[in-house]
Amino acid sequence: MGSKSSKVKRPAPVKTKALTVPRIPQDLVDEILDHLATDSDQCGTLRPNVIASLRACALVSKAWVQPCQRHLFHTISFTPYNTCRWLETFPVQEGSPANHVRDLRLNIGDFFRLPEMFFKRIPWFTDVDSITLSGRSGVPLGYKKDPFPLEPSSWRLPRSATSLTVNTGAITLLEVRDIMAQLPNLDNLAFLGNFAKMDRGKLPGIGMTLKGRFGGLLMLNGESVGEDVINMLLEIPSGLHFTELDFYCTRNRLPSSAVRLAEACAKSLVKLSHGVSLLGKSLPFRLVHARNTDADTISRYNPPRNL
Amino acid sequence: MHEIPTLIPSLGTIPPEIFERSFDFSKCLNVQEVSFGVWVDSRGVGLPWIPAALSTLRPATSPHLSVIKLSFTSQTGLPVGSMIADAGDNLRWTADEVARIKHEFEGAVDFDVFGDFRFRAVFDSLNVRLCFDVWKKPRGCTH
Repeated sequence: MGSKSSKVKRPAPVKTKALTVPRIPQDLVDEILDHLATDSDQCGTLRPNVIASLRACALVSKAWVQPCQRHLFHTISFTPYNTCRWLETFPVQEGSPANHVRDLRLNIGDFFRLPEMFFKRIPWFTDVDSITLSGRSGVPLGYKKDPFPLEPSSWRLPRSATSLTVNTGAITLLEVRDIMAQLPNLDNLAFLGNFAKMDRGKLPGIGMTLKGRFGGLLMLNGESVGEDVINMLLEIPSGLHFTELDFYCTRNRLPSSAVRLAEACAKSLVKLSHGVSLLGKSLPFRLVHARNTDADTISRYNPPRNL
Repeated sequence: MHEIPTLIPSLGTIPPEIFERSFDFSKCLNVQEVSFGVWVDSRGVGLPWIPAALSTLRPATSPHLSVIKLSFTSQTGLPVGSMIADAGDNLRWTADEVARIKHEFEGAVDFDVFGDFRFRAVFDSLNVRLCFDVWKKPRGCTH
């Protein structure tokens, strides 16, 4: 009986074609996403439609997350208003995309300050190339800014940074020195604003502790082309090796300090500009702009032959 | 030391302090590109250091020089006649230096000259030929 039941034929399994998903090599995925992320404005900021596309792509698979995050978090601007959300979203270093950030922009000049917790997590930004400090320089009457939760000398900024842009009057030159002292690989410097006033008696000798290569672009605008800044730079023990100097002074004014600085960089100097800077633009913008020609924005015509 | 030109026809002898307050490119052996924004106001002040700096560019001391950019801007509404009266000498000196550099570097230096049509008119009236890249075309210009 039992043998009878064993003879019952089971229905033959239906032969189906196995569903094969083509596996795209990771380098091709990276290439496609890199191409997508090239659509940015002149400051290197991704356009909203690109951000939306990258967000969607990040949900495709685990393999797509990293390359998407690399672009989405390449440039981050932290203000007192958006920083708390970042801190809540990424409470631990392992899950944080901080290691993807290359261009770190900090608004330090607002009425409110970046929270202390943020400064404690700054070491998470391990591979930053460029740091920009910006913010309002003036405070309306009747308002008082909060003090920095941590002194700038304690910010522990990423040592990987090679470019520093200071575009705020919220800090003094002494504090800028303290910030520069944390960045031993500095190549490019841009001081685009006027520094907060301070006791000038504290300034002599403040450049003596600075270390860095200082072999890229130096951009000085407005009152930053002044004796105090130039003296600090000329005090740097390893000397200045800037290849590009970019001054912007009002009208045709050429301060003697600018001439002294050019003399100090004479051996390495490749490019010098005066008065044709892009006032108020950040160093990343300047660097991007320097790579582009003006040919597409300026119409050229030749003088008539009879001249 | 600066090689001070003894006499610029339109200006006479140039005071040495103009050179002392200007860039000296004779010490910059690697310089490749020089850009100056030239601002002309109703007083014509502050301009001479620019041609003074250009005068220190020589083939022997700046062998890698390849680009010079000059961008001319002026006070809004400043008429051509006023520009010539106030800054004509320095503009002519600038143009003389441009001509000298073109000649001495034998065409190895590209010039990018930016300015509106008024500056072309100024240089035309000074009988100086500069190839301009214009920012703003005059009305009716069909180029």
